[in-house]
Amino acid sequence: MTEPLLRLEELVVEFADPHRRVRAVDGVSLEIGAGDILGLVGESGSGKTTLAKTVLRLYRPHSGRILLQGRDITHLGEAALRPLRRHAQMVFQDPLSSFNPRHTIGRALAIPMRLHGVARPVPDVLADVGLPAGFADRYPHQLSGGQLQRAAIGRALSLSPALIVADEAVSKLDVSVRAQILNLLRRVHAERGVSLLFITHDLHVARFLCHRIGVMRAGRLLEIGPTAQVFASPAHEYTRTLLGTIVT
Amino acid sequence: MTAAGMSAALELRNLRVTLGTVQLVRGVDLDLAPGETLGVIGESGSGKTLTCLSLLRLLPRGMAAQADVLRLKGTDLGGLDEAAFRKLRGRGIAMIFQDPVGAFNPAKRIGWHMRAVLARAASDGAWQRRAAAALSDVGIAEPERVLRRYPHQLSGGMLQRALIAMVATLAPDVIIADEPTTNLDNIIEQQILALFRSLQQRLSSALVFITHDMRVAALVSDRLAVMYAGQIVETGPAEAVLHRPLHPYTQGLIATADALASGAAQLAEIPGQPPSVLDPPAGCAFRPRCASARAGCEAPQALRSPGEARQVRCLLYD
Ligand SMILES: Nc1ncnc2c1ncn2[C@@H]1O[C@H](COP(=O)(O)OP(=O)(O)OP(=O)(O)O)[C@@H](O)[C@H]1O
Ligand SMILES: Nc1ncnc2c1ncn2[C@@H]1O[C@H](COP(=O)(O)OP(=O)(O)O)[C@@H](O)[C@H]1O
Ligand code: SF4
Ligand SMILES: [Mg+2]
Ligand SMILES: [Mg+2]
Repeated sequence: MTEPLLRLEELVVEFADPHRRVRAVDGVSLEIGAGDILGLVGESGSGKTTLAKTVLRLYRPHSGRILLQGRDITHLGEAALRPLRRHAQMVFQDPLSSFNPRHTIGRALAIPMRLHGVARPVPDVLADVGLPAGFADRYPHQLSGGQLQRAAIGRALSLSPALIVADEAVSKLDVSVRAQILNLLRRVHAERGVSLLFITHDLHVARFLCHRIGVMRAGRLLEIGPTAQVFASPAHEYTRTLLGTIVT
Repeated sequence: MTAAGMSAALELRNLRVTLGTVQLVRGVDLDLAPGETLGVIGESGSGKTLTCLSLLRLLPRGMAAQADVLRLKGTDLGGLDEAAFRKLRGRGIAMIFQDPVGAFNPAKRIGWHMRAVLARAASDGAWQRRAAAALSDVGIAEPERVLRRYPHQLSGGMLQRALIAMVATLAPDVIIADEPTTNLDNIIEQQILALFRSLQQRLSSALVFITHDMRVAALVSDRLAVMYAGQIVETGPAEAVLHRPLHPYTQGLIATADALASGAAQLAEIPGQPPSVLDPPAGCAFRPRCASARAGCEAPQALRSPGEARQVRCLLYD
């Protein structure tokens, strides 16, 4: 058995709210293999974003383990994490807030590449995600939401990561633009074999993109399995309710 | 469109909203029969919210609205002064917002809001009992406890239910719901949609239901109107529009939604992005993205009537 790309073991993440402790992720174990696309669905507040950010060690877990490419990163400090960051990149819901408004797109793409010693021309990175080279000179507010999300995907891809974590990456986009970005993610996956942890509220989107689906509720992973299986024979009552909301 | 005239719940002709020299809404017509639900579909920035706000005279400062006709149950709203219009707001026409928080006074409990609404509805009996019953009607458990809560103590879904309860209590002739489920997750969204369907049974109000989601619109609407760049580009009976869309833009939206629902390997895409209001393309606003564009499309397009109760703003139907 080879080590999976990502392995979570009994992961627990807590927040100290002024009144009580919130256990946002409550004992989640899962694996993502190389080239896998895992979808994470669940109602608002179920812990999806918290889980995603903990995988990238933007949060420190309370207990449990995170293994990225076999290496335990659960307790690594920022300095030790930095060289690993290029292997796991994140794409956020709101593309505008994930770019520095004072940097051109070209600069926003160049900085992380320089930091990680990647020498790839910015126009090539733009071309990978279907943007014209001229966009390098534009500022974030001069791009539409869909164009900016392409740039964000390009920025993540430029570091040749093994894993991209995408949190509601298409839900804020115009409906007529959403299909472009979903097709782009599929193409990128097919060409690069990059793994995806894809968080979404939309079950149709999850079914389109994901090989496996995990269903979260109240911090727990209720079930996880191949997409077709979860859709055809959900193991959990809650999943049935969730799938019952699909309108076809 | 359907029966206008005296019997119409709402009649709007040629609504234009401007901000300085910028045209944000460019000639929108709406017709609603009593009890009918019109679904308005359009993506972000297409002018849906501004159209609603114009009907309620709630446009942001600096914007101006003009319409050739605006009648609510035969009453010319254009002729009403502010005091007379205020009386109509709530009982004649009421709005449910995407973000319900703004509809509540954060310093007052839910009970205070319900009481104010009940006073307007000229109800009798103990207000607490009636308020609790109204909350219970929209599926709120333990309504007596909820009456003592402040708005920030309720989840988004609960607050949206409370707002719907307030509007339902007033039973207005026309209810405008502007993306009432967009901020909610899948499960809560379905519950709120089910609630709208039960309201349609219970009240005789006409409903304008605004959404950017085809699937949501299909669930609640009798008729659909599709907006693009400040104009309606297609209207018709909901079934007909969903199964036989006429406008290339509507066809694109439905092709994408169908491909997603059927689990296709590749999604039909509409190329490009929606136009900027600051610099809308001359002529048909969809032309830069349209695979059927041809000579003539660079001229402004009027609505054509190619079939029973259907309209489309496209020269393919000449
Ligand atoms: N920084 C924080 N401080 C305190 N509590 C938090 C914080 N971030 C999240 N939480 C809480 O943790 C739980 C999980 O939140 P999370 O954002 O992970 O949910 P989610 O599944 O991503 O929801 P959504 O679908 O709304 O994005 C919630 O109860 C939330 O209120
Ligand atoms: N307060 C405002 N100030 C300036 N422009 C606005 C304002 N509100 C909306 N607009 C512009 O008017 C157009 C229509 O907006 P809106 O009716 O809110 O669209 P929708 O509700 O369909 O998303 C958009 O281009 C938007 O940017
Ligand atoms: S008028 Fe022309 S450009 Fe516009 S939708 Fe019709 S065919 Fe396309
Ligand atoms: Mg989240
Ligand atoms: Mg709006």
